[in-house]
Amino acid sequence: MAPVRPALSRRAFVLAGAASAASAIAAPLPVRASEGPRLVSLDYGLANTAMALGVTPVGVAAAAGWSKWVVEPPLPANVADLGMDRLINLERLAALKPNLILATPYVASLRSRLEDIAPVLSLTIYAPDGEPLERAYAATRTLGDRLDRRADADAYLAKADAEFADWRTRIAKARPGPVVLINFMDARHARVYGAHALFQNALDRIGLKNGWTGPTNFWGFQTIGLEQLAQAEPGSTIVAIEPIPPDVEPTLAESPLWNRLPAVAAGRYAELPGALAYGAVPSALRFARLITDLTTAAHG
Amino acid sequence: MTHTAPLRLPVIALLLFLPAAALSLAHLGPELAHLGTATDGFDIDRLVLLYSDLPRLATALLAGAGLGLSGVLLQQVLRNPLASPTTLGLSAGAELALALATLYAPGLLMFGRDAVALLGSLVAGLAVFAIGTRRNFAPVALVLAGLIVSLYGKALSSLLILLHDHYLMSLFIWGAGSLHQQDWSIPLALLPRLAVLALAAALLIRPLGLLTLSDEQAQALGLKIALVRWGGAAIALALAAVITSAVGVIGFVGLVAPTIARIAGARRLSSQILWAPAIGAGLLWLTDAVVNMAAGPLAAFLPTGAVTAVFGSPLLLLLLPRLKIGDRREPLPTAVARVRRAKGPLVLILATLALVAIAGLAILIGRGTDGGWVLATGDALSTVLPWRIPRVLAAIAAGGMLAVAGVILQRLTANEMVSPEVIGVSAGATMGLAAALFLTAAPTLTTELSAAAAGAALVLVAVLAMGRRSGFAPERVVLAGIALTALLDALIGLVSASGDPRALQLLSWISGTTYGMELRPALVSLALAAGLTGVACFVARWLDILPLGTATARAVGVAVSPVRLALLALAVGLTAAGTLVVGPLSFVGLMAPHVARELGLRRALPQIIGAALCGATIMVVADFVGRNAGFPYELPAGLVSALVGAPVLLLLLRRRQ
Repeated sequence: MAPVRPALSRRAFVLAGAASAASAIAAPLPVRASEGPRLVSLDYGLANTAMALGVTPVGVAAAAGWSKWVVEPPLPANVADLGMDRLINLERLAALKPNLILATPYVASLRSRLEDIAPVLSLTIYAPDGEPLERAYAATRTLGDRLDRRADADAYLAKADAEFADWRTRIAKARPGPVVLINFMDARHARVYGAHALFQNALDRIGLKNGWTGPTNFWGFQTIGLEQLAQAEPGSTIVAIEPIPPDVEPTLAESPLWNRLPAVAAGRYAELPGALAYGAVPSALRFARLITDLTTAAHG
Repeated sequence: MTHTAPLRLPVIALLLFLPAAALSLAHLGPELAHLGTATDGFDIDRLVLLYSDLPRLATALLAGAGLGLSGVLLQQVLRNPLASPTTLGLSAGAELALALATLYAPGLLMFGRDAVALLGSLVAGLAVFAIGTRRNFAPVALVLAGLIVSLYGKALSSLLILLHDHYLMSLFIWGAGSLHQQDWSIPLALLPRLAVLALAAALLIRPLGLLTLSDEQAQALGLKIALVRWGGAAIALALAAVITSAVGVIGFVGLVAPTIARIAGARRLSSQILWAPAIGAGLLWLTDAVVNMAAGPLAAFLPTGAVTAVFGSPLLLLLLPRLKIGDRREPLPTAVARVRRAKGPLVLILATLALVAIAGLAILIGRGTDGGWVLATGDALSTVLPWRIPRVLAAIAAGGMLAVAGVILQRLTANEMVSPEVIGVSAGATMGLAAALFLTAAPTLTTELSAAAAGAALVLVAVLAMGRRSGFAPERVVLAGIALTALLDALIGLVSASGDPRALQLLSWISGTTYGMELRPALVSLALAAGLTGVACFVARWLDILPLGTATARAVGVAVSPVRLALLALAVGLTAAGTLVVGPLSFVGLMAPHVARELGLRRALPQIIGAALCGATIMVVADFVGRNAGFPYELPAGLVSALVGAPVLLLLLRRRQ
């Protein structure tokens, strides 16, 4: 296990992330002329997937939060913000005159209203059973079919497979220890990701072990008290995914329990730039790339 | 009685402490036994015991005792058996202040959580007490004012959560009374603060005890009544703020602990001040031990404060019949004796015209795709009409129904601070919706609505069943409703605290919105509103007679109990139907009857019609503001009306003698 020094982590990863974004992801498939479908998405993950297939939606729910939660690729400024995902601004949505609405079961109660505006393609990625990455692959293909870009979808997924494989090789070479992935809720609680999480699926693809094996809900997380992190597999690195609430770090610096957690005491704590835990294939790729860069950093 | 009473107190305290200690020992015992032995290196069990379990236990004891003391003081200075940090809005004020600071001034929190919480409690407390001084600290009026402040705080907190990243929502839910600890900083900070405040309370025992005398007697003994009252209230407020800042809102301990102490025989203040904190500490310790045992590894995410409310509010329901509140009647400005010269018809015509004009404008004016203001005409009108008309109609229906329910309840209870919200039916509807969300994978609008209606009906049955025992004494029905609302709120809080993303869905519904309303349900609501308001007009005569008191009503030949039952059922039906549209938090049922009365509509029939028109207008305006103020982000109409309505109402109530 290569210990990760927290002091280095943040900037190093942002830089590393930017560098490999240039090489790996930020060269999406060529964007076609605007004769394509007028698409709106009520879900970040599906919007992200459509963009990976070369179709930029004309409207996205909660577009204002995109740069904080999805981060890459940046959402063009001319994409209309449709408001909060559960309270989509239907008037504005109708005014955009879309010809396809991407939705999830999460907004099922709006379905009949949405269908008054345009055909709705509802794709399920998170469900009580099965694995989200598998469903996200299937959703990408379904979306490819629907947008008449099946070849693009297949190419994108093939490229994703290749990238996962490439990162898997790097991980195998560096042989890092397990990671425990958390989102801080506050200075006492966190969400920890495990079975059925998109992040778990990504870890499996790149051969990195998750040090957290406790039960999780169908979104793939469990809310825990921070002391429970001690139950993680010995040798694990605790990886906190941004954004991190402002008062967490000063509070933890003083906390005897936190500082004596084996991982923290040994300096195995790092922070990772934001990646959407409830996204689709692009979020899985972004996360996998960032975590690979993080855990193999010491090996150059 | 005189011989058993002193014995009962220690017995009750033991009944709380012994099981709590047994549970804690079972949980911590093995590790405690190891404490003496040395270990080498990292021992997580020991660290958790030393830095999580033991400080948690200490915090539970301190917070419980502090809240018990705060409750005793409040109940004594206000001579109000229902006063507590929860029922007077003090905890809610502190929580809201902390939420505001978290969002807009996080820097403030790093050095001054207590100060922020204190400020919030102070503002909430001053609002409630300001009404109290004008109204001679009448128990029910004060508690209802506290409830309004609490609801207002909750409405604002919900709006803040809705307006911010929903992935951060659990941040706020953790505020809901989590005793979870990671070091000794919280109990060690609480201890000196509570010690100082407890000492101050001890010094006030004698003068506070004299407050039970009549004001004249106390003054004759040289007591500065106002000074003692404000001093006691200040200590209680500081206790509530300090505890909320440390652990969030711990519901109902401050109400239940002194009540148990009193019922167990603590008659004198000196004995209440001793026993209520002891019982509060035991209560919170026991609750927390049970939470720890029942939730196992999930204990970290179960806010004990929400659990105490689940325990505490039914206990309050059981205690209610034993409380000697009496059917106190406040002088009611609606009394027939004060009927002015009839100008009703003109006012009603003007109110109708205003509603039609405002509804028309709300349909025609809106924001365009670029966000600019647009007056829709021609083609543009036909694209926006399908979206706007159902919402405006639903707003009219819901506002009208809640307003009529408000008139009925206020007249029935002879209490102008009652609203449909407090009878608990709104909370029941919310609970039904929560069940639908969490039990079905992808509920449709129909499922959501019918589940909410079922929940409302269930609470109706419960409220009526409890009301029957007291012969439908108005205050008891309302208090039962308050307790039930708190219970359901607590259950919803627990569900939400799981961090499940569906909780946000619930939250957006609780906020109340005409959002997604289709034409047909809107028309059904409107028909329902017209029908039920018609029924209310038909029985308006009863509403003129009942506020005159039971004896008068009987004298003129009204069968009091069946009439009350019928009116309650009508009010509950109106509330349930209205709540389904705009959620449980809107204050329209409180505001509209007052506005109607201010317009000079004092008899029941014109007040019903006038309130319905005002309520409809208020909701149409709230819906318009909600649709356009944060465009394209929707603000729920129910919350918007609450934000405007609650302060207006508090001012109104303060002005009124």
